[in-house]
Amino acid sequence: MAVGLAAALLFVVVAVLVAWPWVGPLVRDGGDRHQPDALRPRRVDEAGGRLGAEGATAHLDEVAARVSRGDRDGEATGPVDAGSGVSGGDLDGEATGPVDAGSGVSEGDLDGEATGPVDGGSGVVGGVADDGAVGDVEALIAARRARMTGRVCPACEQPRSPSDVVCSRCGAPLPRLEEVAR
Amino acid sequence: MAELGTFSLLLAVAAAAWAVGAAALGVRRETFLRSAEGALRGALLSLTVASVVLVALFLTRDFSVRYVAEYSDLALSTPYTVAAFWAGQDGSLLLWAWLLAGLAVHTARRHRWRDPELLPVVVLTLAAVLLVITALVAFTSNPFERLGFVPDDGAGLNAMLQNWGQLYHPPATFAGYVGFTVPFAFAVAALVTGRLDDRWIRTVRVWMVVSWLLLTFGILLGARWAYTELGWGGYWAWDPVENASLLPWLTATAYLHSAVVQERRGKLKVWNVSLVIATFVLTIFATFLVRSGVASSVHAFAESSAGMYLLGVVVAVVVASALLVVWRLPMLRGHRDPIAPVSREAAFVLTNLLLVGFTLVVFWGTLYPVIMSVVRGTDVTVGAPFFDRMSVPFGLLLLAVLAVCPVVAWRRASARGLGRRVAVPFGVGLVVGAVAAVLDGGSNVVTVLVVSLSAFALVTIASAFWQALRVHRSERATGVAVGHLFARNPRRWGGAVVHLGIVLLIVGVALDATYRSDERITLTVDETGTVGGYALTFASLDSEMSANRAALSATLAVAREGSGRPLGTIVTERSLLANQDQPRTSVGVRSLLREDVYVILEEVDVDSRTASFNVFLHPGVLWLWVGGGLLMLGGVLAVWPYRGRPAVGAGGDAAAVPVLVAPAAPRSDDPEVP
Repeated sequence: MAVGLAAALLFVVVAVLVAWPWVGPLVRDGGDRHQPDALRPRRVDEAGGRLGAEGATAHLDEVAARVSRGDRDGEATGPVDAGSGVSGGDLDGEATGPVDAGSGVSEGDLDGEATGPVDGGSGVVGGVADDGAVGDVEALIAARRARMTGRVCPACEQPRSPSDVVCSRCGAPLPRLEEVAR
Repeated sequence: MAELGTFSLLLAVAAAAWAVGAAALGVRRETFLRSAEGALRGALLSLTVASVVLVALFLTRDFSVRYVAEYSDLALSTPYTVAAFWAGQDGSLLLWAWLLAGLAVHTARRHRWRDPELLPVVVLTLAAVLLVITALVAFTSNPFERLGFVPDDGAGLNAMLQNWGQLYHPPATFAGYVGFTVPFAFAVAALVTGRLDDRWIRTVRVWMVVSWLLLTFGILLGARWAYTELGWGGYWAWDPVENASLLPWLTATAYLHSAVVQERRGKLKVWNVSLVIATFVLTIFATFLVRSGVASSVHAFAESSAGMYLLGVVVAVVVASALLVVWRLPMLRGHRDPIAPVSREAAFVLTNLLLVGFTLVVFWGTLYPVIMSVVRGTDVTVGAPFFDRMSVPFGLLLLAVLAVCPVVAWRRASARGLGRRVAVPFGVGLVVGAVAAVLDGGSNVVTVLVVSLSAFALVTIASAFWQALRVHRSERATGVAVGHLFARNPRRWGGAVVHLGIVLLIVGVALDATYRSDERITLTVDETGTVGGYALTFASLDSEMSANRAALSATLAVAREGSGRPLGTIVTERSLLANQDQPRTSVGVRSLLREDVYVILEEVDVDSRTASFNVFLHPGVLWLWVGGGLLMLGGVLAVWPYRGRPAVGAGGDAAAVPVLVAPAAPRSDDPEVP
């Protein structure tokens, strides 16, 4: 008897679970079945930051744009890679397309790894790999700034004094610092 | 109550079948997809009821049920009575189905919003696999089948299974197997829908790592069990069933490497999807091998008729998957620029080739006796010597790649720069190798090479970690910096810990295989004997008699010979369990940094209180377990959800990480560059 009742109860519960997409709206909303229940903004609001995947993006952008940068699990989602401001890397800290493509961190990706442009002639070839690249990159920035501010010879990068008119190493003519600043 | 179990199984089959149909319709109509998800929940509920019923039948000793009568008896202790659930095929498959149903429900829920395009086919695939397994349980391996009579007592659990390993090893291994179904489902969904970009690869990463972790855990538990229980052949005996569990582990490991190449470089797409499929197929194959009895194995207690059914499933999955891959080949072509020979990608590809090559070797060695038996009708045995010999070159090459890989740049690395970075670690490896060769006497070249390459790899890993840590330490305290490092790039540093574990594991196995020794000694109580620098004092001989078992246990005190420094005690035991014909021997082990003192109680003369012991010295085995622990730790660190970890670039604040501040070209908005 008890076994029979348990079996019947189990059958009913399983049947309700299977039929819930049709039965559920009737029970809860009096027949409003026009929109799939889970896609309603109400649910999006409830889920808050948990959502962020493509399927809900449209709603999220309108209703809860704050989570469009990635979900709470730390997963980068579509909008993140698509340029929402974190195109430098996803929330895993991994370099994404825009990084390698030159979005401003092309000297090294978010792993601190050398990426294409580094090996491809940015001046830190050979010495770069992993986090060791940090020093090289910083040196590169310093060198670039020195070039930009005219503190080195543009031809051979030999440091110069403001009064020099030709390079003491290669003899190249040096621009006046005021010209460089302009 | 057994009838409720059978009903629940049939209901689970019906629910899974509905889920398959509804998910197929759910590709076009979302309501059907939700119904399929509900059906999966229904299947999970039914299988939960079935599992609870089976446990209850065991605990109430309902011997009218065949499965209960076969795997338990009145004297069996409660933990093993519960663990008898998965002692045979019927219960194991029920456990598999229950785990799979739980995983399917969780997957559908977790990915409902993240991967809506893939979800219908993912649910369809998971439901189809669930249908196959539940149908197998319900129609060929029903654990609720009645005997037609009620025996006074059950046959009892196999003596070798009455070990703590039985409590954890099968569930962990099964959970690993089951976990690989989810990546497979996503691979199928990506192929069917044509969404073969990197998204599915990123989605399955966590599933793959977690399943890999569970399988690793299961294999390690099995190895430890086999090490401490006489009769399983030591921690690894290249038994066909052990090999079967290693095969998906190897392909999953290969995938975890090659997936990174696809994520970063858009290459190896066909390879990756094939590895995911192969891993899933190999889990079914592993079950087929255990259940079919086609290969002679120490796990032969689990044989049954389900083997051929599973073989059919393997064939069907292979054919269907191959057709899918061929259909989508044009979409699976990666970027055309070639992989530079000296680059991180090349190292990953080489790792893959070695792992897959070794998979093929193990596969062939495992199946060769079966093939010979079928084709020629002759019995051929492929034993440990074959596998040991074949694993040497693969192991050495993998160690070499592992040593170099962390310091090779992505895309292209200059040979000169690479040489500069590996110079110190390589030098350390050479020095350690030279010392090892001197200590060894030069007779074990392979072991010396293993030690040398391991030192090389360890220094490489340590120096890479130190370099990264140095950058972070400049801004924060060391402890915080370590946490920051893992939180910032869990995959990389978790992987480094895994590699550390692999190195220690290989060193441990190599040292043990080369330098293990054994000696037989006979002692009377209070007498002391010496073996390999250890003094073993036979401290006591105890006997135990109960309804469940009769046992004789010997306790030995271990001390360093000469100095007499105590090192602990060892207890080894011979017992005879109720309803069992064969005596069981439990090994006594004292693990020391240098080696394990491993004692087996051979013979006992109770009257004279004399016993014979076989004493083995297993050097380096502790490192095997430490390495295994690090494998697990690294895997956990790699997928740990670091809440509040540095949100790299979040909100567009690229300057949050120092390395990001270097612009490729002068930008007008850079305040420091005029």
